[in-house]
Amino acid sequence: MLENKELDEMMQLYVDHMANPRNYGKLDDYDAIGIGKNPDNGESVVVYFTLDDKGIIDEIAFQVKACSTTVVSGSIFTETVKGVDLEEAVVLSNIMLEKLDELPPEDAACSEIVTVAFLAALEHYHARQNDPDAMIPTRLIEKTCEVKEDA
Amino acid sequence: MHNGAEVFRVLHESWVKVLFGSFALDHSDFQEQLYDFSEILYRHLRWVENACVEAEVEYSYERDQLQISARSVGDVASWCGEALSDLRSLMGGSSALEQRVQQDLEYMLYALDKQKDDTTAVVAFDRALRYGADEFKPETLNTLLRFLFDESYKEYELIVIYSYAQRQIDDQRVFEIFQILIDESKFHLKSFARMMAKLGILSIPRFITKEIYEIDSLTDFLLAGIDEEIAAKEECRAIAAKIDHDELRHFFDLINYQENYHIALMEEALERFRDQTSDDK
Repeated sequence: MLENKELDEMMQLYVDHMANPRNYGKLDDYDAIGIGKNPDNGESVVVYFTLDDKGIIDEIAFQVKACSTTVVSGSIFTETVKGVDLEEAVVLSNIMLEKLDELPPEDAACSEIVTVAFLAALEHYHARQNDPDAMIPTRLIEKTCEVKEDA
Repeated sequence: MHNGAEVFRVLHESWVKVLFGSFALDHSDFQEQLYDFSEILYRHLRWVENACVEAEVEYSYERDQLQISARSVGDVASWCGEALSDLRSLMGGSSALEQRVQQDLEYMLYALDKQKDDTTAVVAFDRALRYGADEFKPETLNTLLRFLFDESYKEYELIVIYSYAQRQIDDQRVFEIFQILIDESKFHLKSFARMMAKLGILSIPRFITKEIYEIDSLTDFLLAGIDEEIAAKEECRAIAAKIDHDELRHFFDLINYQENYHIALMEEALERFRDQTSDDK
């Protein structure tokens, strides 16, 4: 059970990222692009990134056709992986996926769709090393975006 | 209009900035004036859109991600003034439409300039998470915040989608239905944004991408839209039942009941699309 102070902090964090989502938008010149999709309701997330000459993610952007919690997840996730190399980004993505079961179901689906969109972009990046015109991958989420019941 | 697509993009941003500038202010003559300006700018937007369509100029409802923050009425006036100055710098033609936009901008800039030294405090961005003097339980506040961020975005999205879709409509009644839905979404957006301002969390919705507003099948869009209206009704009903605030409870009931007519209108539009399809066979 969260204390009121923790709830306040979580709400302020949510409001901060919702009112000012980091990295929201499109990249016209990207090294990779991937799509995450919720097959139940059609919600989707697109992630773009570019790498610098040392293999560090130096630009990342995302767009959503989904709820505000997905925007918050995208904002926090892209802020986390910006500035790291691909190997570390995979580790961070896997940590995120492992923690999904600790989240409320509707929040888990929002976090998962962002993470799988990023993993799809990684897949695109690797595919483009052999084929610059490689198709943009789409990955589906496994969690269900259940409506939260009131406590 | 020689630079119609650029004028359209900047005009769209100016409309959104002035609209949210008006939402940031407490009720006053200037707040009403600013809202009226935003309505005029929306009309400009649609007229310029029409000019682009007639001239076969490609235009886009995509825009930059916009952030708004202000501590005083004067800050809001200056922010809106900068947006309109940018727009004015693009204008210059001699058509009746261009003249009209330029003359309106001159007056708006004059009116905004008179307010730029007003130091009256603005609380729309202070993140206090109180509704005036009232505080909510954390659970209720959490539900309310999610609802307001989601629905303010959806209402803006609907205004953009219906506005753009009107260009594809030959049926006069469907055109009229879309106009009613635009006007209704404007009212809902205003209502939700003003609640956000009172809570200190006002922000401009994220932009709508082409992939979202360019609808392949209006029939599928309306079918999905009816489901969304039903879901929105249920959310309003749930919040009204949960919230310990008489004024807001009545308001969410109002929104819930208003959605019934939206659904009826969307079903009427769907029926007309189906009739047209069967006539075509």
